[in-house]
Amino acid sequence: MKENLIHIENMTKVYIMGTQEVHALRGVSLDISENEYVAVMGPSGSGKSTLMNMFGCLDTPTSGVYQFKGHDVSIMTDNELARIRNKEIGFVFQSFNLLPRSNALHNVELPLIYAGVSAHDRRERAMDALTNVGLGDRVHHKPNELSGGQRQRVAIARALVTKPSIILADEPTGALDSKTGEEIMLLFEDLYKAGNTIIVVTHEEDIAKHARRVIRLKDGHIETDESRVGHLQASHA
Amino acid sequence: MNLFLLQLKESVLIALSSIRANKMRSLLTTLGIVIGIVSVTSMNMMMSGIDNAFKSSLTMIGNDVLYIQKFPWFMNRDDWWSFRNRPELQESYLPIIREQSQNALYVVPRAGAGGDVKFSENSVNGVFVNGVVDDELRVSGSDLSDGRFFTELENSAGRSVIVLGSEVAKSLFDESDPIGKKVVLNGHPYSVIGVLSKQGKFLGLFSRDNQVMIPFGTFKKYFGIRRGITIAVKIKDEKKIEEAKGELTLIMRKLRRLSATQEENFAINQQEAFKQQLDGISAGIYGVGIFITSLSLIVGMIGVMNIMFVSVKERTREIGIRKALGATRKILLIQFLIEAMTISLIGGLIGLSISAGLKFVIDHYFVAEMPLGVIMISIVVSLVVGLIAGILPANTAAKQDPIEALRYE
Repeated sequence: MKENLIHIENMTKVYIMGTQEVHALRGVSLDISENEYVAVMGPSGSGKSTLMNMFGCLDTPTSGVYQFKGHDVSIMTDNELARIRNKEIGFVFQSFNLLPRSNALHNVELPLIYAGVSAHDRRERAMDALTNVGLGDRVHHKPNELSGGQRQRVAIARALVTKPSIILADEPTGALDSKTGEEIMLLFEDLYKAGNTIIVVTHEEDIAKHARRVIRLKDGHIETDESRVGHLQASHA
Repeated sequence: MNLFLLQLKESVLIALSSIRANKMRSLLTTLGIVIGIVSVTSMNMMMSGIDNAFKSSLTMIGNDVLYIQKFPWFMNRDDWWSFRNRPELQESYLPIIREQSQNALYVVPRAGAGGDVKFSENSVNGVFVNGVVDDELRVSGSDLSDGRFFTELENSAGRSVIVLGSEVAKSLFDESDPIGKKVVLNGHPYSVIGVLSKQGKFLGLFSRDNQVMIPFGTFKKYFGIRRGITIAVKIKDEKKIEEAKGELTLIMRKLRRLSATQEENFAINQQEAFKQQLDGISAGIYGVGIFITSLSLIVGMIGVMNIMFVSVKERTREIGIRKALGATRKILLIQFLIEAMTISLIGGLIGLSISAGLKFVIDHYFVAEMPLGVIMISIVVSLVVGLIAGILPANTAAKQDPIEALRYE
């Protein structure tokens, strides 16, 4: 039995923009278990970014339930949220979001610093993570000395280095050409097969087709939530 | 604790790398702090220099010596006009004071006048000539570097012997030995019998280096004491100086036949008067110094604060990344505080090295000292200034919403 990682029930999120209330999420319910490969799709304004922020514990819902590994995220303090982000979630962003002045190794070490890992262990684990994404020979390069694909690999190594429960990728190929994008998706495929849980937020069908389960959002609701036929590891629909 | 140290070290490294990335900007930012620290240290250097110079000058006055004189050491111009009609002090008071005072150890007369000293081609004009007795060295802090002082007999017989101040001896004789040589003082020949030890200078004040001493008896013969004398009383117990002062006042009042209602027509001076005067000057200099210093430090602090706000704004995205990766508010707060403190500390260290250079320049023309305390104070002050300057910007950074920060272009 796979452990249930994320339990969301009737989640809503309302932003106040000036005098206007914006309903980004209007009652979303879903569960995500260990070792799923989920794509969240939807046009802009559908609420997929908001949902991703919720997954990533960067934001808390206005109402409804969000449990991460059985813990209620909506009542967590800032420090507890920071700890969950640090230990349980690996972020991969569209624009990589690497620290420009630090080399690849230091960028990958960063979450371990906040986790309080000793310098020696940090270095070893960051080296391993970079070797895993095929950048073992680029560890001392700074982001501006790396290609787009290599930068995204550094970002993936950084997401993996804390051995998180979930890898959360927001348009991970959005800033890459299609060939490089395809390589990155192959890397995600490998990570999935190695047992990682992956959530990809995208608006590209080509990217979503790699996932085993596709959740489509529209106007803050889940429009469809289907597992791909032929994928054995698909979860409940 | 270990985790805290780890993050502290990390914060320092981040701070250094961000300062390195903006070398020119950071350097200009520190300018205010540099100026502040330079003024803190130079003020302190001068004050401790003045203090020490005064102290060494004051030892010559002696903290156990009372001076019975016509005028008080410190007075205003009106006082001078009324005091100038006071009677002069007489040599005849000496044995009476010696006899009646319980507290006095030595009671010696002093008289002074200007004069020119010559030795062959060399001459020193306008030296201060002291007429003193053989006990003089026991009363004042001076001692001899060469030769001997005059005897009781030479004094009472009014012999033409002279003891030279070290500067006078150097001007007249350079490196050669002055003992036994004949010098001419105001047209009369004197044998040099001794040279006083070098006392050092404090703006030439109280320094006996530029004076000469002759026996009191000789002084009377050639200069006369119509202009009065000073009576110096060295007391037995320094702690009883106030008691001794009271006693001497009574003896003097009796000598002058003053009734109980009449004001004193003499003054009893002591080192304390100089100390009070010095304290007043010090307080004045410190007051002005602290004002200028705080002003420049506040300007420096605003500079650091400003640059930290710029830095926080520029690095909004970095803050977002760090938050997404698990940095807590506290960690970010510490990171930016340390950055502000590092910038400020660099300014402080630059200021200190400038002051160290200044010290040699000031010392050459005036007096300056740079005690360890000043260095410590400067470092602490620059750290505190950095800390205060960093609070608002660091708080802004720590409070950033990670979603907004990540979206920031």
